[in-house]
Amino acid sequence: MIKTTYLQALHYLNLSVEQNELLGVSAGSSISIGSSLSFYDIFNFKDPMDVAPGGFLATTGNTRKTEGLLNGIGYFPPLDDENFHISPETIQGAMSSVIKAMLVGVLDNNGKRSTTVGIGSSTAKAETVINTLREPLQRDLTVAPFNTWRDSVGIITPTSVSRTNNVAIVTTTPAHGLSTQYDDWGVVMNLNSGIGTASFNISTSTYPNGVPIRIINSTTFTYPNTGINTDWTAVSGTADVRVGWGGTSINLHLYYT
Amino acid sequence: MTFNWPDIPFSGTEVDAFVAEYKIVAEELYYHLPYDSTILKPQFRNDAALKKFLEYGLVYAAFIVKQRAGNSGPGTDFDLGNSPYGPTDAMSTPEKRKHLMQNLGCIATMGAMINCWKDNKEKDPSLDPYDELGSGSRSGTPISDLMDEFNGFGSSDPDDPCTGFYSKYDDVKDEVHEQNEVLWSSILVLADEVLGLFSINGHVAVHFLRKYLEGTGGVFTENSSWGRAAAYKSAHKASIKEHINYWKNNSRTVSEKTLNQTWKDANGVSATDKIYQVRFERNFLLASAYGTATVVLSGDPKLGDFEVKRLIDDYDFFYGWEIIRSDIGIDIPGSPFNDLNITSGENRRPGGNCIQNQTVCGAIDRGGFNWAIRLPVADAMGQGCWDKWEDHPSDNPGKPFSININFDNI
Repeated sequence: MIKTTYLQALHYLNLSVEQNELLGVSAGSSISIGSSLSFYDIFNFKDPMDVAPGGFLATTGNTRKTEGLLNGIGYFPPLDDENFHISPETIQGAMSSVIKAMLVGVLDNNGKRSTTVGIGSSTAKAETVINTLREPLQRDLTVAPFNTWRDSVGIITPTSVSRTNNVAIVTTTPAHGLSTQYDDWGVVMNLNSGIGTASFNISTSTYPNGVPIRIINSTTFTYPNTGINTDWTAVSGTADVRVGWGGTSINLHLYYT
Repeated sequence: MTFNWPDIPFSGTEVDAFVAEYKIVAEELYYHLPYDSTILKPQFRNDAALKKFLEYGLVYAAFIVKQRAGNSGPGTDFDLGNSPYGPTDAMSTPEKRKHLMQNLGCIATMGAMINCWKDNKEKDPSLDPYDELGSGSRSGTPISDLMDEFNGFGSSDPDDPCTGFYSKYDDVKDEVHEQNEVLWSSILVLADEVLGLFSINGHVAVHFLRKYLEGTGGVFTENSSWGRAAAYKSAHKASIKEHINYWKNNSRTVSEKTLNQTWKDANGVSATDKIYQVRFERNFLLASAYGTATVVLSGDPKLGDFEVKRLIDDYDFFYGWEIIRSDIGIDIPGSPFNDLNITSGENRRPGGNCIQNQTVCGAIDRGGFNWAIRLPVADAMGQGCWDKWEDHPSDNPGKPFSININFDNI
């Protein structure tokens, strides 16, 4: 049985568990064999916070070299081109970027938490899609999505942090006030006192719209944060709250039958 | 080539409206919007690939809207039974087995098998210990490393492609030089191989870049050396016509232009000929060769068939060297020029004022990134700014040239 990988990628089927580097949780896949055979996978945006497209994502081998060359030349082949093997990660990343761009272009409220088709001409919406997919320095930052996408929606106050297995845990005083109705919250951590707190901070150069958080309770949240395990430490500083993708959920389960 | 939209296996007021509008916007974008594809991230510059992303992305985008809407029916939560592709007795009949195979993309063609081999080799290099399907003699060379490094350029900061640039670039350049190769020459060999596979216009684009970097200047005509593109002049002409014919009703892309009679007389433009400014948007390789050019046609393309008679342009760069034109008489792009009229491009002398310490990356920076093409151009000039090309201290800082191709006999 031969798989044509680009089609598999476009169907968003990954037959291996993929670690979502940014989110810090694993998207899953499974094969069950019983009275029937089925495959399922979870659809997550690779970057659930930002709207800007990523790059070529192959990490090893000849595919990385091929993608490096294509990146250098600035060209992308048709997906069924047999001369150049594009990695499934790159294909899925590009498709995710197009999906985000279309959500921004078609829906109102910059595509955030909305189900309502926005007003405006189809041409204007298509231009928004194109603006989303541009090279960084070619973007028009005065219009959607970049004029408001990375706006702060509030500031909360961390008072202590710890880290276990590359997940940071934060307590706040007062309560953070973030609604559990949404799972698209993120933060830009900016701590300025406390032992070792710098490693908890989030660089907007790397994560322009912060990193996603998981709400534990009214005064506690977690976020992916690589580093050594750290005991609870009192801190001062801010957590700048952002909104990314989602609504009630950003996950999508797919069955292939 | 119309869109092949997938069925959306769920419905609802919000999602139905979204799907309908998604298709309208996608079709507007794909068929009617004359955007410049070279300013997009590379993954979106190929129309065929973009079309597939739009088609396949619809299900996922619709599912997100369906989940947000929160109304009942398939696709509203994480219950697998409500997934867009519901579980069934998947392999119970030949038809269902075929459906599964098709959804997985299981195709036993030679190309698919090679792809599969390569893909599996990525996971386990021992599958191809002799690299029979690898990148051949270049594997493991500095250029091979460069191909790797191209991936890393700019990746550390999504909004600033210059971050970390110099150390990577200089390392690779030093390695190439140790092999007694010139970096840009090596890059162009690769680029010619790659782009030529996509279209003969790739050979033209690479040949023009090579001519600029060789620094020969002058006027490029139908009788000049066309390198590997020499055998494809007719196909090149046909692709220019095809582009104009597709966009002829879009005034942004194909717009009538007035040139003075002196130039017309000098270039054999007849009273019935038409002159247009043509943006080669949505056509990456022609855009790489010309960007925007002036084209003489045998007639108005809106009124019937026509022939491409002549194309004129200046091959210069706002991050490298530019030719200053007076636009008086025949002193327009495509005409012979005096080397004293070559100056640093706009990115190095905005408003005519040289930025003396402008860096290579900074010069490229303002216009976006096609590393393999822009880097050699900007790097040939190096850091700095010169009002006159001849003042540059290097033996070969690159040199622009003009293009005046008479297609009458091609």
